Amino acid sequence: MKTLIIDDSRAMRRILRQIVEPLGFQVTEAGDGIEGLNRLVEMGHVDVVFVDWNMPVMNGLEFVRAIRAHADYQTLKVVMVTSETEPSKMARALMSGVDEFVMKPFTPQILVDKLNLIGVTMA
Amino acid sequence: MFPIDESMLSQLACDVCGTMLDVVLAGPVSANADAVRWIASVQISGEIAATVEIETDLVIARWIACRMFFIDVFDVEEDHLRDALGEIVNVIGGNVKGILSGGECDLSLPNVEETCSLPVADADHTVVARLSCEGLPFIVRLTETRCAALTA
Repeated sequence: MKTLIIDDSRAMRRILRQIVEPLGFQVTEAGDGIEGLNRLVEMGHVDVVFVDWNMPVMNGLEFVRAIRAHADYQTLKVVMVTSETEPSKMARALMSGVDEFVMKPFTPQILVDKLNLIGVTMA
Repeated sequence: MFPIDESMLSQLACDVCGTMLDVVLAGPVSANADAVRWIASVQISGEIAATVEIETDLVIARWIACRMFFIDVFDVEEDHLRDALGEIVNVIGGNVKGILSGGECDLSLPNVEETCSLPVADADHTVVARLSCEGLPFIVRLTETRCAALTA
């Protein structure tokens, strides 16, 4: 299982890594959307992407729109991990191709539940 | 004035620190005015304009970084402090924005800085949650900046 974690916060990347590595995920990290696109191409097959919304250079929403415009990434599972809680923004992200939301702060169980919801099954 | 009071702000900060760090925040303690303090802030802009700020002692900043990065206190570097405090204020700010805003607002990227200057009095349009962590101050402020600009 391979996952890409995209967040400008090294702290949040570390927290997510600490949760998903024991679940059997091989983790790659990126600090913004552009770096995320580059890592995605390098990684080949990816099971799920965790992406923050509010980032410099390219934000999470722009990243999702970019990958959904590409045929290879139409079915890639994307979980947006964000402190955005406004319904209008969530709706916009879902319409752009986000599969699930995880609101910060979150517990490890919440993250696992969201993965189950979108059909990402752990080893 | 914002529809959020000291009690709500305190509860929000306690929830964030409890969930992210497994840290329990307690009631206020007196601050050492000479202590090196770290201040992390985010701006909310749009239909409302506000600043959310956390202020804490260097010792607690280091301790928070240890817990967030799962590292020993001796391995904490300045970047760890900045990232850890920046993430805490980002999450608190995002949740405050969700409470305050019924429409579209943006949250800035966090700014984190060290200061040795004396604390200034809080303005009337500021909600302050005076909390503590491990016996040292952990303060959360919500300031209505549009109001501040108009009255300056």
